[in-house]
Amino acid sequence: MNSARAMPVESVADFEAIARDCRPFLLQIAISSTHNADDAEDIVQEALARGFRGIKRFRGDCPVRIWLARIVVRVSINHHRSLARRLKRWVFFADMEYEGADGSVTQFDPPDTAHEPRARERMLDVNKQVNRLPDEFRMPLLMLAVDGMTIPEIAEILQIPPGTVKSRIFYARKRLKDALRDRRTL
Amino acid sequence: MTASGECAWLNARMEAFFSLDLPDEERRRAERHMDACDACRSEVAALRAIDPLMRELIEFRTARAVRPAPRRVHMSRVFASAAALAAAAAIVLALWSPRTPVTPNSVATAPPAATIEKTPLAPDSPENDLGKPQPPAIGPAPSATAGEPGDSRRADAPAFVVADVAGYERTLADYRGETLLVGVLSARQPQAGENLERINRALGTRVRLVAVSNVRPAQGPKNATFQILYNRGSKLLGAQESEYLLVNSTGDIVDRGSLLGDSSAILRTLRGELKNLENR
Repeated sequence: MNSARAMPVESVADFEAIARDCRPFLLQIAISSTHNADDAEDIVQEALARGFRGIKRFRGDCPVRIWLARIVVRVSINHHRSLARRLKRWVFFADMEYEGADGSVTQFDPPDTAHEPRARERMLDVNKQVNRLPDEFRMPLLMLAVDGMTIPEIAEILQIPPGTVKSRIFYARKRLKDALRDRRTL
Repeated sequence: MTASGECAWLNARMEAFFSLDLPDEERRRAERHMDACDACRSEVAALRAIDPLMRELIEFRTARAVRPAPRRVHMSRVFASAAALAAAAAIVLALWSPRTPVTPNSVATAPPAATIEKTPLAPDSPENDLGKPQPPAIGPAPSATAGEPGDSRRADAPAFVVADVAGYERTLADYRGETLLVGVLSARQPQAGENLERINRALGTRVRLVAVSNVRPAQGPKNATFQILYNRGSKLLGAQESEYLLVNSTGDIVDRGSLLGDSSAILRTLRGELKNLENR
């Protein structure tokens, strides 16, 4: 991946250039670490704002984009927690489910013409099962699926040893496989 | 060794098998077993299916995450509105002409009322919809923009488009439903930024402050509590440098003034206007 800059960030213009370079990568990290993809852009914005405020604390011991990706992960965890808190009071259409008499669950979802209805339904189900995985298992599993991401890179972002990343990914695969098999999605 | 014993053996090494950490000999043994055992083969196939599925999920999420680009000025609407304004101007000219003969020159220098005042609705738009682009002004843009950076003096510049540090554009439609205070920073008059900071500290909870700079990098006050946005060649609703605009939740300008001078006087005015808005 490009823009592996580990140089000190001296000015606002520097930071702006980095933000521009890293945005697609950070968006992918946000997409893989959040529960709701609709929030990914907001998370990246918030992370860039925090990065900008805290750039003086950046010691240059890793590429800037990895440092920013760590912030993205933190923001997305906090974002979900605050969202979860709010959801105790508010119910969004997107979170509504209807349980049929036969025990089947229909999820409310706004129309999306970009995907085939059947495929979309399946992806929504996969998405839901993935979101049920604990953060520490879900994030490495999804990050590995991001184009060009490697185990050492994920280890750096999540700040855990590469061996742990591997075993968490394996555990996540296993749990997801069981969940999807039960629902006959896999 | 029994089949189930071999299954248990493979199961215990599944993680190493997937991480390609299994020694060659054990790997061959695992593959031999999978050839013979349907259950283990389908187990491994199901685990292998997860990764492509996750790539599909990332694509699916990406499609949802990336918002469509902000809407640009819709040309058909522009022509419709421009035509409506031109027709209105023709009627006005026709009424005036018996007394004051109008030369083409005097038309061109007529004050551009439409750029600053609330943009009049074209007959084809029944409601004042903020999401729709404002029609461009006819005639020259406000005079003071001459010599300023950016292309905000272009007659066809949009009414209000600003962008944040990362390049995200926002229009008035993005602030729909909020009382907005648009403050324009000035590189030559740092007092505008300082007063804006005082206003934000005092009224930050009652209005949404949008501090805009025409130049990059912005010359804001140190340790500003507000985010600075950049003008993307728009008219900023006619606001000049070191000026503020108070915009109500439906997008109408209710007050405008200078950000220079005594901040407590500006605050007093703004408090009064906000009270009026809240009482309404």
